[in-house]
Amino acid sequence: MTTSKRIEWSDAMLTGVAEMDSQHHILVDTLNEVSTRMAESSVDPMFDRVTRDLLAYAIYHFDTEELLMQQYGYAEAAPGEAARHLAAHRGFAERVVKLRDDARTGKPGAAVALLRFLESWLVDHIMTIDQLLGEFVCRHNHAAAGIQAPDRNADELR
Amino acid sequence: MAELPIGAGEGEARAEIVRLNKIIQALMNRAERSTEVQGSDFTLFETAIMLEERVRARTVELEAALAEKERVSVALRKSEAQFAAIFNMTPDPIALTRLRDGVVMEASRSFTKYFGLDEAEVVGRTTLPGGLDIWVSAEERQGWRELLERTGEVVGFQAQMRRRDGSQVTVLVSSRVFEAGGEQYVVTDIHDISVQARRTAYLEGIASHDPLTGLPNRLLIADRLAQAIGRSRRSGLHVAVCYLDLDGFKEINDSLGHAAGDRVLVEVARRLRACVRSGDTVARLGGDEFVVLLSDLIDDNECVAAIDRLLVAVGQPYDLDGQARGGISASIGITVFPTDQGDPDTLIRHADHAMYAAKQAGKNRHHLFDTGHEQRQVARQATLRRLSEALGRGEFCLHYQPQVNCRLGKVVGFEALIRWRHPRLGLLAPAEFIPLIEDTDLAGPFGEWVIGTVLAQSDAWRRVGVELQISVNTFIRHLLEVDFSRKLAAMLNGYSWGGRSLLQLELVETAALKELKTVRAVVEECREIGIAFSLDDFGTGYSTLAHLRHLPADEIKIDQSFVAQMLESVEDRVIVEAVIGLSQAFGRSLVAEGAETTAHVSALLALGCNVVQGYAVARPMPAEDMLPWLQGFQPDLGWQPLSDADDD
Ligand SMILES: [Fe+2]
Repeated sequence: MTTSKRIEWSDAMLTGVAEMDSQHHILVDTLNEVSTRMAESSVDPMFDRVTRDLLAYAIYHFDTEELLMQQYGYAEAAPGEAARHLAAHRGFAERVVKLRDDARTGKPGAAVALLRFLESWLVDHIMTIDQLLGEFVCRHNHAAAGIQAPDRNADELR
Repeated sequence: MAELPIGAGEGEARAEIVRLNKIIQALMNRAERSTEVQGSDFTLFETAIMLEERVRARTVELEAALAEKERVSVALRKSEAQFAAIFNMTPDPIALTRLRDGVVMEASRSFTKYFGLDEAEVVGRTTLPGGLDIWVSAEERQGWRELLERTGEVVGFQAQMRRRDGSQVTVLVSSRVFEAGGEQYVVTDIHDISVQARRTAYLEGIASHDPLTGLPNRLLIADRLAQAIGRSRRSGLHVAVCYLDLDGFKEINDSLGHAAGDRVLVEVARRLRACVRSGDTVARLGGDEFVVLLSDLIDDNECVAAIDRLLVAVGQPYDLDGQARGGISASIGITVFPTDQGDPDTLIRHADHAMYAAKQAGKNRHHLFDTGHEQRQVARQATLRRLSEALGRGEFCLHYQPQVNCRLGKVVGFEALIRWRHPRLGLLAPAEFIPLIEDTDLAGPFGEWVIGTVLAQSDAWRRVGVELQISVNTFIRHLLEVDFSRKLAAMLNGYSWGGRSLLQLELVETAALKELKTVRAVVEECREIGIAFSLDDFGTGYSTLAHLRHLPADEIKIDQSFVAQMLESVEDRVIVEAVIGLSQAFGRSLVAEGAETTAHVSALLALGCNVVQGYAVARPMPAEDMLPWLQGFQPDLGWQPLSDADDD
């Protein structure tokens, strides 16, 4: 049985935008719940709750990010990147709905597929696409309260 | 006091008069402002007036006698002497400095006396660091100077100053810039407020400290935490908020009395303080609850090591009346900024939650607050609130998807599907938000809105002669509300056709089976007022066969995922066949959802399922598109059952 190691939040996941960063903890928390509990005999209630929470995350969190995009004129400044980012967001809920469908109709391996999806979202989205948005927002608003450029020096101390 | 240089010529004499007047003006203005601010500077004010009168008199005299250089010179000397006398009468220390380099031109006797310096040590020296070093804080000096340069005037600037004997004083510094002879000077008055400052600090200390242990209290800790957060934002280092509650304290209090309990608290305070670094803060919130702030942490390991030290220290025996008492330990909850992005109050609350978890896990341990978990609840609650607001704001709409009997080429009904027109995220499909609603109190309001909207739409279509069944997805939670059928009847009674509503409620099979008895009762009540029922997502539940006979549903719907994959997956095809068989055996009508292509339709027809819903027939569409669609509807010639030869 796959029991992956718990993923700890690290500064490498920071975008530097406080609001985005605290919401990104949700995804790491969910990922850890799936990875530590998927070995349990009855995975269905966990799966149902987790995917439901992920649908809430999609509505709540992408609204936050897309509001930032609007406020800072992301689509005007970086049209290609903004379009790619929005498309990725739209794909998230679609993917979760598909995984729920698969689990509902008894397709095997839905929990593993969910875990792989969340891992790839962490790496390919939060640690990649969101970093670009974070840098963009920070560059445009160093002075605003609660927003600061990520401090990479803190990493080097580790 | 240094004598003012006296010019030999007329021009210089004039310049000196101008300069004197400016000094007077500066003193006057500063005294006026100073009075406004402090309300206690009359002496200075009066001095300035006196000074002004005297000098004005001398000046008139001077100007009258300007022709005689010697007389001018003598008069000026006299005026100077008088000015000097008055300058030195003021009780507050006063100094005159040159703006550009801070060199002291003149200092009052009160100035030299106050600071304990000789005039020779003051005049001609600069107030810059390394010169006349009366400023305790370079930052304060810089702040005063910047203000002065920007506005030309500083009133009541509070600062710490140092006297020759090393004693520190708290003063209000008031200064004003003036120009004389092309040079800028500053006249500065220093007003001592050390006594008041000490009293304020004392009172603040009482208000912000716990009298028993002398530790900062809740007021002060929030302030310290806010400062630590500010530092963390700049440095990138972490701040741990540790909420500590004693285990076994109540027992000591109950068995040995409050005095013993107080001694334990004082000792705990001492031990905690001994465990932390000088920059950290230990506070007592009250009772046996403490907060420890650990700042400038590089990572969580450093934090955990410090926490372990606290646990060991608190767990040592306590000396009470010569007896060592054990049995006291600590449960510690921790949350770490910036991982946890809360404000000071929120961080303390989170640490408190985590402390509770540490207690529950068996005491004498720490528990780290789970930010992700908390945020997840926040996200869910916020989304539910958002959904509720969106309903009130009319952000939802219904789309309708036709159901067609493909064997007969006839439209038989529609399914109403809810959509969320989210202002930023666009049009959201029901599968993306319905799961959030179905087990909450929102199920009722959403369910009612959908049924009400469908009935109004049905009325509009009936008026133009379209009388087709409309299916509505129903939340079990809504259906189980006490007066569901009564409310539904009331809604139907609003229409002349209410008794022949053609309304069908779709229940998700798995959900309906959970409370079969109650659901069955409501279903029967509703059937009496002409409502039909359909079992949605059929085939996904486990107890399908056993329970189907107990639910009086008119129709079953094959789940779209089986239909969608029936062409590729033998398993899915077998399930579709089985559901079709069941519907025939139990005499229920049947709809297949998820027919995406003509090939799906053909396969379904071949298996005996005639009514089809899916992209092969039509996509869901807004109500206004439905009439044109119905008018243009033509059965597809490809909707023929697959022959056995094609089927493989
Ligand atoms: Fe994103």
